[in-house]
Amino acid sequence: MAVSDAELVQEVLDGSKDAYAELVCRYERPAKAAAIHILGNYHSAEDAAQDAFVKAYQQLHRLSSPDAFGSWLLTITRRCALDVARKKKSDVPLDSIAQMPAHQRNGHLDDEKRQLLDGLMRLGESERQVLLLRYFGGHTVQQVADITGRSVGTITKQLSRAHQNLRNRIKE
Amino acid sequence: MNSEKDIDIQLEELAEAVASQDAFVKGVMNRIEQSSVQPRISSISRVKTAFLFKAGIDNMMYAAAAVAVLCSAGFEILLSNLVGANVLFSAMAIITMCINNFSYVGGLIL
Repeated sequence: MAVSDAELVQEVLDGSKDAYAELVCRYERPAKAAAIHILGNYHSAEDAAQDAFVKAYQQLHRLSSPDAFGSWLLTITRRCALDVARKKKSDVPLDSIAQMPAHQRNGHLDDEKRQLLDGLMRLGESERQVLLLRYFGGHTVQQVADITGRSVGTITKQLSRAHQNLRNRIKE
Repeated sequence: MNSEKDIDIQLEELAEAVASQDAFVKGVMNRIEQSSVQPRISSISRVKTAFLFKAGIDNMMYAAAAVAVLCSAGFEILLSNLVGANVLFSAMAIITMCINNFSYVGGLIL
């Protein structure tokens, strides 16, 4: 059984760094995905995600609801990604990346994946979180339920609804 | 993109494009180790734990006191009956014992 986010957060607040390493492993790819959505570039996104994890650790005592760690971290990640984007204003504009030939897009997602990621990031908070944990975190439905503290039935319904909403958003 | 399976496969492909690296976790943990800013250790939970622990001890002490009072009261009644003392004497003896026991346990708690 996977340890819930809330339990890990409490362990970190009790002084355990290993518990935070576990949270970093759990949310590494979801955080990178959130940063790629804003920055469009994998390498910059990695820096932003790392900044976000460090900031989240330093401010962890301010998190009023420990079971909301995932969505709180993603909010911090988006803020960090926007900071990185502001600092790199002189870099290649993001809009122009889509116009680049495939071989020039080193570290960038192709159009189809960008569209999918865009749809994913525009989903509601709980739907987005279950999709990120399920696909980017590579967790089973049972593990997602344990991590979020929701029932397996709720997660199954949210996944199904998220798939449907994502499909609708991509069609638009 | 028409079926659930398509979305499923596309999400898996997207996730694969966002690679996971050991270096990432190590990088974050190194930066945390070197950082002077640390999260405030949860004082609330510690106080709460300490309070519950103390409350547990207090409850045990009160229970012990109650048992001691009841035992000595029973012993006093038995003794009074054995020596043929009257009811008033028994009642006074019980009250005295109660006060003594509570004072003793109270002293232990404090």
